[in-house]
Amino acid sequence: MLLAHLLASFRASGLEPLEHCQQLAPFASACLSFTHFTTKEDARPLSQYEIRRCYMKAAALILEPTSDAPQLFLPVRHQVSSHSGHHHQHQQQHYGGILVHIRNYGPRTSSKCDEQQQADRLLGRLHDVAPSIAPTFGAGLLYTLGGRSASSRLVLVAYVAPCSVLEALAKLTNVLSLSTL
Amino acid sequence: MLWCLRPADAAGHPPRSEYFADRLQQCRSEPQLRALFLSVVQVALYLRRTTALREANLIPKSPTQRFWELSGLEAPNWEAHQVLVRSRFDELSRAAADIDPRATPEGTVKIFLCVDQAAELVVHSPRARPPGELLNMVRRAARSLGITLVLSDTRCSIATSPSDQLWNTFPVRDFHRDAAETPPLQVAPACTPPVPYGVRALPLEFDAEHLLILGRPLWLTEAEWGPLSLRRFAVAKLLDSVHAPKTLEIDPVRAAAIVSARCSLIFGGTGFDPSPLVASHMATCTGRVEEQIGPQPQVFACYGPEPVLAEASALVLGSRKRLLATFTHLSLLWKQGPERVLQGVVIAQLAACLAKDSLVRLSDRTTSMSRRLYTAEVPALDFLSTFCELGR
Repeated sequence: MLLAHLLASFRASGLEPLEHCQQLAPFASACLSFTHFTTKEDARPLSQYEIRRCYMKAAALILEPTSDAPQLFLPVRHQVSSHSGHHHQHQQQHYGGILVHIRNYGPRTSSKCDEQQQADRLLGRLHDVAPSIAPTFGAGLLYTLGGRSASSRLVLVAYVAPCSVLEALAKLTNVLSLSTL
Repeated sequence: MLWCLRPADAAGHPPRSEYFADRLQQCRSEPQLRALFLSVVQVALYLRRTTALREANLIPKSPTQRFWELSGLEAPNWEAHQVLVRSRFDELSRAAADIDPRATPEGTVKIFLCVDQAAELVVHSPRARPPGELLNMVRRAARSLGITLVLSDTRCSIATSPSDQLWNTFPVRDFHRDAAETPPLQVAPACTPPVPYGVRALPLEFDAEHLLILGRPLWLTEAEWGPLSLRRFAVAKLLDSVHAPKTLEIDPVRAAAIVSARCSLIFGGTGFDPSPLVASHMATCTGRVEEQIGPQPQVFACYGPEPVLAEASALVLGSRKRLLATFTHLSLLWKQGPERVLQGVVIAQLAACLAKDSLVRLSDRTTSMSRRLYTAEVPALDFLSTFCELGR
């Protein structure tokens, strides 16, 4: 249903939907379970077992919280159907994740060029953090705090750059498409 | 019952439990402690067999109520409660002297001893024994009789640095299955930050299996209550109140507890004193500043990744009024708190948590959240959409 909504939003915003929706498709049956965050201090890559363990314990991770580029890792469970034999269908579990790069709104934030660079970095970073995640089961998201009208009050509310719902969805999906493995 | 070991002339709540504190500290050997604990077990079994408690209308209606009644914290008059304990225990102890716990079917009674100011046990050691030996003897004696110790350290006298290998011991999604396999003393959750510079480390070497939980209840041993009962208990512990959250005022300390139970946030070394969080709101003391300035020790505190506390926090934040109150206090705390970059990280975590919470609430509007858990799964795409919309 959301995919259909995203599709409509793309059409409304004049963006090309096909490629984005194809890349989003693996997430159509994906789920999240987290209720809280915990810090991952070491740089050791996450294995499938560790991602699964995070998911089962409803935990999400903060990577390098004190750095200039803190990131959140949200474990995701993908349920994939596979066919074996004539009429047998199996449900397989795969664990992936969404890497959320948090940044403050700034002069360069709104630049498309910067966004592309950030997304490319995010793509590489996600692979570094969790090389065990299969292609298409990981995604990245740039999460911008503050905004043109709110950059001076970074206190209570998280702002995606101010825009309408459709624009926000289009922006989100655009970033997703850039960062999807 | 609650054993409070703080000095007899010390102020504070709960007041000192003279009867048990004195008896505990007078023990000089493990056999003496076992004898003391045995009498507690015998009395409990005796009461179980008799109708004395029922007649006195002391049998609680729920495990939570039982906990608070046994502690005496909710007693209308503390002195009267102490007198009652003193007179009744001796009398019951004599009556129960013939009971052999080993001949009693297992599981008929479960005893929790809550020892406040447990750091005093480190100070008081039998002669010619190393520091902390009394504490270890107490633990061994209690374990030998199947008593679960709940030790708290309200003055943050003991610093502990939990193992970073066991960063979560509370399996949310299948804790029913795992509960039976869990040892009675759980390891405090790790993945806590390293002990800050200038901190006095715990002088004792506790093995991971029996690491003390300082100021924490033992979630898994209570898991028999079921997740919803457990969450109610966690709400009471997180907010430090047995009253319903909707009747409580969210003060700055409660706000800090609510947020920190879900987001990775370290308190200490700044204007906000986190010791009340450790004393009364389930935070873990991760360190203590060596050079004390003022009457209170300066401590570092944080919350480990405990899903049951996160569940409790989510339930509290489910009310818009409490959410706004929490955020208001949080913004004030931040004026004396962490750096700007950390504020951003916490904001993003909170936004993610609130987006997830809202989807859980929307997923089944016919059932009250008091009957569901926030660990429920939600579609990833819906989450992403809500996460980004939330900021608007």
